[in-house]
Amino acid sequence: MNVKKSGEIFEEFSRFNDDSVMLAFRGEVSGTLLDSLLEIAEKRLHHLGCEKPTRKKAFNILVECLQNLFVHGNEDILEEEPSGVIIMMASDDGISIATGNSIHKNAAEMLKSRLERLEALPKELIREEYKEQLVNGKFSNVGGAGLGFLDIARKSGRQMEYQFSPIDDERLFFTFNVKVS
Amino acid sequence: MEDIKIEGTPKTPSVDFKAVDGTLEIKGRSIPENSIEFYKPLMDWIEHYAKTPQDKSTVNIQLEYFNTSSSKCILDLFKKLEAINNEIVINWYYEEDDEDMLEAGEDYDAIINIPFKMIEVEEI
Repeated sequence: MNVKKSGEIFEEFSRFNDDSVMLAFRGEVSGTLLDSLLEIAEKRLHHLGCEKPTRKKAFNILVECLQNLFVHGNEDILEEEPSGVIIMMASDDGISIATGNSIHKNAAEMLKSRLERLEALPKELIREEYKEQLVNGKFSNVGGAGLGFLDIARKSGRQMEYQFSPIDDERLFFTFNVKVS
Repeated sequence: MEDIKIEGTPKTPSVDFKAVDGTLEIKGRSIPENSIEFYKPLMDWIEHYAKTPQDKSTVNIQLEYFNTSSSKCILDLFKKLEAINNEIVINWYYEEDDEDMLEAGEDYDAIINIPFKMIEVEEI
């Protein structure tokens, strides 16, 4: 029998899971899991001791990110088991929230053009764009209002970064990182 | 007509709509994945109330958090309130230092044709 030393396992674990990681999860984000993750995140944010406005922004953004994963993270029908990723980390100058999920190339094209448009927007117009979308946007068939990324951009001061990495001919892995400070 | 009284949950606000008093209150957090389900009965109630409203209606919105799915529903709720011809005011509460919540109230104020009153409180 070849059993790995427990100390080694914990060493490996602590290498990527130090105190700065407030929350990390990979797998299918179901409704009940989403609720639990939010509950844990809220407690950790509370204990972090950062300013309340920063804490509230981070929680708000986390809600949008997790709900994005919940709604869009399971759309890839080629994937045997949905593997959405969420990582929330604290640093000296703020809180980062990163998500990852596989996405079909057609959906990726649409998402990319939306994010590019958002990036090109002068900062002072983000609020106007949000209002415009609030008034004229329609609910999509999955319950989104098309406001998620606009809201994230607004609340983070658009400290955002994203990438699309090819998985195969049909799919890409979308990673997104937003920082609140 | 019947009042609406709903207890708050970690993801949905408490609701207290009283037709006889003309007071409509939503308080807490509103972050459900699909908010239409939650807000539809409230919109129906307002539609009904708007036909025979009190001389004065007071709407208190006291939210700690709301997600983007709710923001659209809240707008639709305010639009239903615009049908009320009698006096009406929307009190928009926000926690001190919560610029985002104040801005959100200002956005609705700019879109909706009902007087808003921004009220700063220590904690919601």
